[in-house]
Amino acid sequence: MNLQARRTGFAVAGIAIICTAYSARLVDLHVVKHEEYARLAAEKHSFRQPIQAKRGMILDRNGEILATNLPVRTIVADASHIQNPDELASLVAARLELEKEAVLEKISTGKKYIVLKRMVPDEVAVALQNELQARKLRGIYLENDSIRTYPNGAMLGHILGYLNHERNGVQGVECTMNKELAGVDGHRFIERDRTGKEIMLYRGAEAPAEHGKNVRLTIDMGLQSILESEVDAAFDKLKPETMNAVMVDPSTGEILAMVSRPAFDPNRPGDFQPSQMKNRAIIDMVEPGSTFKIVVAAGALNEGTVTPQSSIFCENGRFSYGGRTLKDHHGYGHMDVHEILVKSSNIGSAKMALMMGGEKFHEYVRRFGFGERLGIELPGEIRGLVHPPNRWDKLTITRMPMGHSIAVTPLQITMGMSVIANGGRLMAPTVVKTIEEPDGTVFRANPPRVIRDVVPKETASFIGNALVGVTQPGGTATQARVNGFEVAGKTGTAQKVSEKGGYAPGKYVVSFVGYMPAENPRFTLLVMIDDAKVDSSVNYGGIQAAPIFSRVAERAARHLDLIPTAPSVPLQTAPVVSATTPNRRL
Amino acid sequence: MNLSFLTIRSANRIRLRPILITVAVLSVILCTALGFVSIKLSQHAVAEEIRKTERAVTRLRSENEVLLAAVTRLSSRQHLTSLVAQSKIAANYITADRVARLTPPASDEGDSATRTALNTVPSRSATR
Repeated sequence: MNLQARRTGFAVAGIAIICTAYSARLVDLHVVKHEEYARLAAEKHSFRQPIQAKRGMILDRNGEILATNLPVRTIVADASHIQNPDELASLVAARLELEKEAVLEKISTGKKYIVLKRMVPDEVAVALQNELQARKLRGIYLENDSIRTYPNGAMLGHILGYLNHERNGVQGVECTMNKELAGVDGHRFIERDRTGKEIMLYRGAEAPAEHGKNVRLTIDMGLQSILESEVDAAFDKLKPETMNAVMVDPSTGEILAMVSRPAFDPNRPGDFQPSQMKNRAIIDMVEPGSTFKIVVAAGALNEGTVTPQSSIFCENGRFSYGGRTLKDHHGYGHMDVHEILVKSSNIGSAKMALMMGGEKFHEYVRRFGFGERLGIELPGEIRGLVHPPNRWDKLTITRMPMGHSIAVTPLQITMGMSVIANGGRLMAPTVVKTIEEPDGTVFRANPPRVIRDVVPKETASFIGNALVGVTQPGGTATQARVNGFEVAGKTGTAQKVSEKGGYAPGKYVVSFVGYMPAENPRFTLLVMIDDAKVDSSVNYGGIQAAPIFSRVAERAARHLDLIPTAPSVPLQTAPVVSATTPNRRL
Repeated sequence: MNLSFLTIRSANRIRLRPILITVAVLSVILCTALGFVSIKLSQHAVAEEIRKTERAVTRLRSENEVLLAAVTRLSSRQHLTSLVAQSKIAANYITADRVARLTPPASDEGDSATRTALNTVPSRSATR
C-alpha cells in the first residue's frame, strides 16, 4: 500500500511538474513575450501602408499659387494575385501605353511587388482600375503619388527652387523651407484577404499624415511679372552674360521681386545647366562701381569728417595718389558732397575716404551690410569680399569708395540703398512672409527685422536728396526718371573682373539702384547688367540700366496705385542700344 | 379501477424548472451566438461601407487636386500672358489719362474728423 501510494505520489508529482512546465511556457509565450510574438505575427500577415503627407503650397503675398501638387498614380502588380496574365497584360499595356511583351515579362516573375509605370495621370489610372473591375481581373494596384508643378514655368524659378527624386527641396524656398513644406508621412497597418482587398476589421494602429504647411512669400507676382518682362526684353537686346534685378520694400526688407538671367524652368530642371540655376542676386560677387559712393558719403557726413557745406577740391579730373592717377569722367573743381554724388566724382569720393581714414571707412562698409550674409531665406547666400584695412594696399582706400577692390552681392547693394531709402536702418532681407496651416491660419509670421541702425535719419535724408539730383538734369541717370514721381538713385559702372585675374578689357558690369517715390519710398530697385554686348562708349549704368529702372518703376507705380506727386516732365526717349555682337542666351 | 396510487405526491411529474433553465441557458447561448454572428456581419458590412467611402473620399480629393492644379495652370500669369500674346484675350494697359481719382475727403483742422454728409453741420442758410 505504501509502495502504491508512493508510486501514485511520484506519478502525480511528475504530471504536476510537466503541467507546471507547460503552464510556465504558456505564460512565457502569452504574457512575457506577448509583444514580441504579436509583432512577429503582425509582420507575417499585415502591411504597413504609408499615408503620404501632402506637400504644402507656395503662394505669393496675395495668395497666388506658385507651387502646387498634381496627383498621379504608380501602377504596381502583385503576380501572386494574377490569374489571367495574358488578358491583364493586354489591357494594362493598352491603357498605359506600354509594350504587352514587357508587361507580360514583368508579371511572369512571380514577385509580389512589381512597378509597371510611375507618374500615371489620375484619370488614366482610375479608368484602368474600373476596367479591371469590370473584367474581374485581379493583381493590379494603384499607389498614390504626386508631382510638384510650378504653373508659372521659369518665372521666379530661382526663388522657388525644385525637388529632387526623393522629394526634397534642392534650391530656393523649396530647399530652405523643406521641413515646413514637406510635412510628415503617416502610416497604418492593414491586412488583406486573398484577393488583395483590405480587411477593414483588422485595420491596425494608424498614425495620420501631418500635411505640409503653406509658405506665403513676400513676392508680389504683379511686380515680378513686370520685372521679368522688362529684364527679358533687355536681355534679348543687350545679350549680356548675366543680368539680375532685385526689388525690395525698403521699410520692411521684404523682397517684392527678384529676377536672375539666365533662367530655368523648375518643372523640368534636368533640361538646364547648373549655371542657369544660379540665383545670381545672392551668389554672384561683383564690384559695385559708383553705387558704392553712398557709403563713403554717408560715413563722412555722419562722422563729421565733412559737412553738407564742405567743399572738396576734385583736382580737375586727375588725382595722383600712391603712384597712380585716379581720374574722373569730367574734370571737376571744388564740389560739395551733394555735387560729388550727383556728378559721381571718383576723386571726391576718394578724398572723403582719405579724410575719414581706412578704419572708419571700413567700419561703415560693414555697417551697411557689405561683407556679411544678410540672412535671406534662400540657400547659398555669400558674404562677398571685404578685406580689413590691414590687408589693404596703398591704393585700396582710393579705389574702394568708388566700388572697386571690393566684391558684393546684388542683394547687398539693394539693401545698402534701402538704408538710405528708409531713413538709416539696415533691414534683414526676407522672402518668406508667413507660414500657414493648410486651412490658411497663420502658423508663424516673419515680421520685419532691423539688423542695425546705420546712420541717423538726417544723414540718410541728405544723401537721399543728393540721389534725387542724380536723376535730375545734370545728373548721371536722367533716363531713370519716371513721369509724375521723384526718383532717387545711383548709377554704377565697373570693369568686369577677369577669371584670369585683373580686369577683362572692354567688359563692364553696369547698374542702377534707386528708389521711388523719393519722399516716401515704396520700393528699392536694382538693375544690373553684366557685360552687355554694346559699344563701350554707351556701356554705362546711366544709359543701359537706368532706362530699365524707369520702365519698371513706371509700371510698378501703376500696379501699386501710387498717386503722382511730382509735376509731369517729358521723358527722354531712351531706346535700349541693341547688341553689337551676337551672344548665346541660355 | 383503483387509481389511488396515482396521487400527486407519487406521480412522475415533468420537471419544468430544469427544462426552463436549460432552455433559457441554451437560448441565451443561441442568442449570443446569433448576436455575435449578426454583429460580425454588421461589422463586415460597415467595414465595406467605410472602405467604399474612404475610396470615394480619396477619389474626390484626388479629383479636387487635379482640378485645382488645372485651375492654377490656366489662371497662371504665364498662361494668361500667352493667351494675350495669341490675341485670345484682349488686354490693354490703362493709360494715366484714363484714370480718375476721387479727391480725398477733406478734414476739419480743428478735430481732424473727416467731413461727411452725416457729421457736416448744415449752414445757417440751409436751415432756414
